[in-house]
Amino acid sequence: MTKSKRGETAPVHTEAILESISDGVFTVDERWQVTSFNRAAEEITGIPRREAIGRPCSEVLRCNLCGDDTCPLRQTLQDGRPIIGRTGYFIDGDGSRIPISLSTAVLRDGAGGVIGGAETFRDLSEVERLRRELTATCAVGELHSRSPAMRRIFELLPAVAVSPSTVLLQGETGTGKEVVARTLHELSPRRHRPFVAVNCAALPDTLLESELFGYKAGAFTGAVRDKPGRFALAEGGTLFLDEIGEISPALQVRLLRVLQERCYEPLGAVRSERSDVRVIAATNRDLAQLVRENLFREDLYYRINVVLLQLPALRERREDIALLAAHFVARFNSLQNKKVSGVSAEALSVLFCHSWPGNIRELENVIERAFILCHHGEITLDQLPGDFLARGLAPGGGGSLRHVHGIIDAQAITAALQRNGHSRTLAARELGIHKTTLFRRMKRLGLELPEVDGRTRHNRQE
Amino acid sequence: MKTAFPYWRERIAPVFETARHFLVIDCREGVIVAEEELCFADDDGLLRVRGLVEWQVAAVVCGALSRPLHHLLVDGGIRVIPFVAGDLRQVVEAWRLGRLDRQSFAMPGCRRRRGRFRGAV
Repeated sequence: MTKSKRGETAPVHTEAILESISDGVFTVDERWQVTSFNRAAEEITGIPRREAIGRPCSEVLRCNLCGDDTCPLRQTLQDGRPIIGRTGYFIDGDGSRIPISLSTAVLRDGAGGVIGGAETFRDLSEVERLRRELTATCAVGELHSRSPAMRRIFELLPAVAVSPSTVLLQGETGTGKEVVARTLHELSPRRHRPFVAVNCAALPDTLLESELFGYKAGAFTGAVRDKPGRFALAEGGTLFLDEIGEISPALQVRLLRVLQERCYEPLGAVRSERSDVRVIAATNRDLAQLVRENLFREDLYYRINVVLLQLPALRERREDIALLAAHFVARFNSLQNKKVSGVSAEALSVLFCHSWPGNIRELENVIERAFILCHHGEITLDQLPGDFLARGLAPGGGGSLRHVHGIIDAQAITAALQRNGHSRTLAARELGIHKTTLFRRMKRLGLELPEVDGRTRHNRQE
Repeated sequence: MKTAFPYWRERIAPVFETARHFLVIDCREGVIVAEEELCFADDDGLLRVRGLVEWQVAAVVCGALSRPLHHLLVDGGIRVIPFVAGDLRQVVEAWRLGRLDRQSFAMPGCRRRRGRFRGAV
């Protein structure tokens, strides 16, 4: 088998070469079935050779370019011209999109007849990873995160942004719903058109209706001229409806009509107006629960819930606290013309232990408040709000490790007591210390014993 | 119950997000009572998700599917049976009879889980 005419490579040699290269290579016959699949192809796709051979190449590679008009190999077999370096992605068995570059060639027999095609592909994941690192993947628009909890949202954002679909943002107050909405707008083809935000909870129902849809002169007393509504102001762009869960049933009907039929009537108008607006709705309430309680229309819920993005609370993405704090420091430096260099390690560890009921907005406020006291250097413990320091701790303890340790201890004890219905025994067990140690530490830290006693079943039930 | 089958050249389409044609069957008690066709002109995967949600599809049997779109389909209340390969009519029939076998209809490299996809009822 290895003997061959001068200038030709024997099949065994060819096979050895194909096995040794780092690019994936496969060949297909005229029925598009895979006839060979090299070692690198196995490694890149995760598909064993024995499963690939004999199967349609589109089901083996499952690339976004597989299709009548887009398949590079099909084009090559039609016009005989090789294609080099076309980029695309395939989907592996875990559902990950793997970026690749593809090249194609025609396979001919000894007489020059076409017997199939060959495709080589190169895994671009590493190149893509490096490119992302260089362009700081932890930021999309105004969003900053290194948290796995935000990864899914970052993955979805570009695709969601280019789609005209209505988006529902759910998350606690202060989790950045409007920032996400603005980012979606900035990444969308509508970015050059207006972004208009309306807080549905901030206006009474009658005002909200005229605010959204506008009115015509004479519609009511005092309406001396036409006033365009927010839908008209957002024409061609994005309308962000915050606190959508607060609108009345009557307004829900009108909103449903706009979303379904893309038209509405301003108050006092006799003709409908067309609307080309992408709606992004947000709420901090559980809309599905409101539907179950008949407080929110089911049809409107399904209409706005085409794409749901659930924003995690800050306590669920604590790894982002340092990143977000640095982002806010940079922003306030720029706004207030200061040179604060960052947050000290001790202050950061206290920020890290806080439960953040107000989420990112609360963190932003904490940094803004610290800027009042801090003009240069680092933000220190003393510049954090008082409630960040546990009750009873002597002020002016400075930034010593012992002081910080005390604060963290106090916060951990208080949280454990709250979680365990103020039962000292259960809280001590959760903290991994004896009950007497808990009492001693509470005394040392100046923490008062809660009035409610976890031992009293009657009290807890009340 | 409506089930969608994205297809290409009379086989299950290899990639959900770029599939142009979806056969939607309405199956009641093992009998197909209606068949419809959904067509998409471009390659926006989200439009397919939205189309299926609006079409009130309960399940989708498809080829390769990326995780983000999988999440969106599930969020839209759609049951997803991904990484299925095979002749469209054979897959539909196997689904109707509740015999969509992973060994017979799995895409290459996706046979790790044994068992059967539960079919239409």
